[in-house]
Amino acid sequence: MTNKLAVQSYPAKGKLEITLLRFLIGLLFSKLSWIERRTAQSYIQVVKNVLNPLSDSELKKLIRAYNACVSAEQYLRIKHSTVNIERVARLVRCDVSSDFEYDCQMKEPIIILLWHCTMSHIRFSALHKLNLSPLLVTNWRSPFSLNEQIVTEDPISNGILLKKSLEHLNNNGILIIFMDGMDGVSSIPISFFNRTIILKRGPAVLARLSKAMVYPATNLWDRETGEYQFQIGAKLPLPKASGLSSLRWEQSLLQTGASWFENFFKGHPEEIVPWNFRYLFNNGS
Amino acid sequence: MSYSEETIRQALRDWAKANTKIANSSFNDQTMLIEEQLISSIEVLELIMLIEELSGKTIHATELKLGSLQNIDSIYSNFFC
Repeated sequence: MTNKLAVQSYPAKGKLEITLLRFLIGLLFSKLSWIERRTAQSYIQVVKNVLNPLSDSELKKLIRAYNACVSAEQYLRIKHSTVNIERVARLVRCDVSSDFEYDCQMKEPIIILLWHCTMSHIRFSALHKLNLSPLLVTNWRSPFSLNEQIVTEDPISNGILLKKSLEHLNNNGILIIFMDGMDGVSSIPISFFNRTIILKRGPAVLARLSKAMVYPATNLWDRETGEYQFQIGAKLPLPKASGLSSLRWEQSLLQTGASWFENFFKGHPEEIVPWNFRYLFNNGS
Repeated sequence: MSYSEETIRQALRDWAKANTKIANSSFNDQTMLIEEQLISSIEVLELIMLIEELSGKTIHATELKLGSLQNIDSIYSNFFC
């Protein structure tokens, strides 16, 4: 695979100002985020809802860890935003399934499904390290990514962006998209942690139309060693096409993907992002 | 295979009636699909694919303009004339 990524660099003139500006923006973001999550209450409620039952001692341990991690995460986000992406990439360990490697070599169209986790910006460094240059579908332009990004807006623009994504896949490209995205109106109910949540159809529609291979991916942050790990899991089994309507096919794929992430979060509750779970649970039943 | 103008317009009308939120009685070729938010992003994608099928041409996302998908009149004039 060829690496189409250009290493982020600023001209010497103004470099300091840009770095300082990014630092200040990061600091502001951190401050706002800190006010919102001043206590671990939000996290505890989500974890209680999701992982019930946990013992009191387990919960207390989780709360202490969470409080420490919020501060550390904000600090690291700011720090990473001000240094060259290659320096961050050195910190990330990439764990890629063998079938993903094979499909990359065969130049198969690939959809990488993501779910919001903590330290999510690390995935961009991981993609850089893996020499992958996927097209990223997102609802905001991430300052951490050097990949081509298409940003979702209104339904018509989104429809055109879906077409662009489909063309990218039909040209045997790699597309990276969040399963738990919040934009868009076309949605499908699925089961997640024994609740009904609503996921957007977009990723499944693209998989159905392009016949792309679908891989779930996530990132882990080991709070003790400080190591970051980016994992691309085994290929998700695609639903059998015969006898299924388009909508049922998409629902089946989204359910398979959500179950994969449910298992991941059961094993790594520290990676749960409270705002995202709250949104999903509030919009489901 | 090329279709007549009426066949194309009828296919687009049928698709719009079957796939958008519009009430059948009030729908015509000037009904604004986009401004009245009658269409979702996935329906836009399906509409583009239908236009490709009817015109026999590939439409690249980079060539698409928001205005070209406004209503059936604009779709016909932009992709079939």
